[in-house]
Amino acid sequence: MQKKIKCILFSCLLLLTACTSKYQRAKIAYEAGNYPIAIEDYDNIINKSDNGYEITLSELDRSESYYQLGMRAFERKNYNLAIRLFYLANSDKADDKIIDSYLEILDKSKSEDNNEMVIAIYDYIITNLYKSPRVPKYIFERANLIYDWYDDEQTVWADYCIMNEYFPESEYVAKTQVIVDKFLLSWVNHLANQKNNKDADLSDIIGKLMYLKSQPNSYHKEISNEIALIYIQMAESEIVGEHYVKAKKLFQDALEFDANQANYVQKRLEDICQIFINEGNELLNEKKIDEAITQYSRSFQIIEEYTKATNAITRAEQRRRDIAQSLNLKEEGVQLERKKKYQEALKKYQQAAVLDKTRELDKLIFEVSNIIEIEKDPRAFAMKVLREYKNGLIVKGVNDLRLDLKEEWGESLRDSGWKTIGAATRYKIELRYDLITPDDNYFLSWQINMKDRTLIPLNKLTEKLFGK
Amino acid sequence: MKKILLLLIISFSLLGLYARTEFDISVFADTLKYNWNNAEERYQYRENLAFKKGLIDSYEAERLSTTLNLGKSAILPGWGHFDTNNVLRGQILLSTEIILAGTSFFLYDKSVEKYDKYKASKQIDEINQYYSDANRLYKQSQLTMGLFAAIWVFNIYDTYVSTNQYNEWLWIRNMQKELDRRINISPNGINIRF
Repeated sequence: MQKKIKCILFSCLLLLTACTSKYQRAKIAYEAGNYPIAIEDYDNIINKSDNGYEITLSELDRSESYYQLGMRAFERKNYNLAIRLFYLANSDKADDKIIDSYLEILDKSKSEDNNEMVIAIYDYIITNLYKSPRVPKYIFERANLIYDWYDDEQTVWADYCIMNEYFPESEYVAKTQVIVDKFLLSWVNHLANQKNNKDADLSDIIGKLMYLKSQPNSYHKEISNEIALIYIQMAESEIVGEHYVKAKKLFQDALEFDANQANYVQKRLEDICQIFINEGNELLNEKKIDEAITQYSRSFQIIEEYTKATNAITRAEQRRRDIAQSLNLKEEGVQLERKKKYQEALKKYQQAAVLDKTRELDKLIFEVSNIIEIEKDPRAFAMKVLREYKNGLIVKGVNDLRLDLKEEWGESLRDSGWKTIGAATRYKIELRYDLITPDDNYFLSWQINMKDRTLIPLNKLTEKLFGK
Repeated sequence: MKKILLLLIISFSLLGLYARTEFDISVFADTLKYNWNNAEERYQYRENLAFKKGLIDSYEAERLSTTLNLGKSAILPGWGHFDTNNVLRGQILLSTEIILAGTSFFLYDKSVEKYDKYKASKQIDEINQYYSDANRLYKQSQLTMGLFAAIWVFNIYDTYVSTNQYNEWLWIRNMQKELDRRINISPNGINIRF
């Protein structure tokens, strides 16, 4: 019976051993310093277990196991293996040891003047351990070496950007900036010169300058000034293309980068406004009041509350009122003229002409003035019209003809002098001048339209001698 | 037969030791073995682990002890289930065990009663009848007790499973709670606290 019980107890013990949890088994190996076995067991747990807690503990212990193995390799100066084990440990302190291991290799490479290896080591540290607080120092060192050995400004700049992005507070930012400052101004000048090329993409140049400005450096002011100049150049192109609002936006952009351009920008904006004012004035002259106001108002898109535009709009509105009033006065004049109140009608026409001088009003004033003269003495006025017609052309012509005939015929010439024939009907009257010689008779005759002061020859001889 | 069984148990126990494969340092120290294909993925893994590490203390304070739960269920079947929120299962197990124990006790009591009558009987027919009854009731009592024992064992096993499941659930819940605490979704957008 006792033997039976012992056998059962032993079996239970063995089963219990076999049933010990995998994590406990791995932990035992880990605590005993048997890290490879522990890591293998932890890997199994991590891959197969559903227990998140157990998996997390296994991951932590596995990390520590790799670290301890890495330390052993490091102490034996097997740096390549140490680096791989520390990499697998994947912890902050392991990363520190990776850097230490690489520094050991770096020293050796430097002493052997193996520049490529040195740069490769820096590359690895910076690329793979970029969150380590020690990395800024190595970025600076790499930038320094690359500038000294290869004069590779692009790579130095890239390093500087990495430094600013990930370690803006680092003391090495300022140190790296010293290297960057050595070549940055020449970059800025090169870009600035590109803007003078005919086919230059100005937006692209601005983008590049902005990118340079986005990183701390000693030439922010110079970069800003160049950006402002390019914006102004773009604005001027837009003005040529009559895209004034775009031009204004570009001018404003320029001012954001260089406030010293304020006077120039203001002047150019006023120039744009003046274009609108001039166009508005032309429309106003054509009595297109609404279009003129619209044109003036466009100035406000460029300069808010632009005084010249406000005044011009006021002027346009006044012009609108003057035209309306002028039309009213003209209408009144027409009515008075119909009632044969010529003096009053003339006054109205003159007032209307003061407000809005038009050809029609000029004609009305001319005709009414003539009618007033006709009303006083039609014959005298007819003679006056004749004398003044084309600066006395007809009177002079008739006098010349009479002198010629007198010379030829002497006393035989009979001269009728100027005669008015008939009464003035419809403001028209006939004027005659007869020259009679023994050979020929010259019966000259015109009809005078006194209202519009025009003359019509009434026979072929008159027409032949004096034209139509 | 017993020796064969013993040999099998020993072999089973040592199976783990023989399962180890030959050690290869290049495979062991292969930096790609955990699928960290770049620095970003490696850092991401580390951040994830740090996040989970932060949950360990609260989890350890809240998790149920398997041993304690097993003890509780051993004393009172279903007790351990109550702590793992499996109340219905605990109630079923407890009531089943009470019914089985009561039935077993009842049958055993009846069996004793019949046995006493059997001993007091004088007629051969009565003797046979009471003996047969006492024997049948005793067997039924033993069967019920066996069933009680089987369910008790199942109760212990199930307590172990339930406790582990509860602890797994607790870990996931804590992780989700922590994620919810860090990620706050509002009309203004997603806000992540660290």
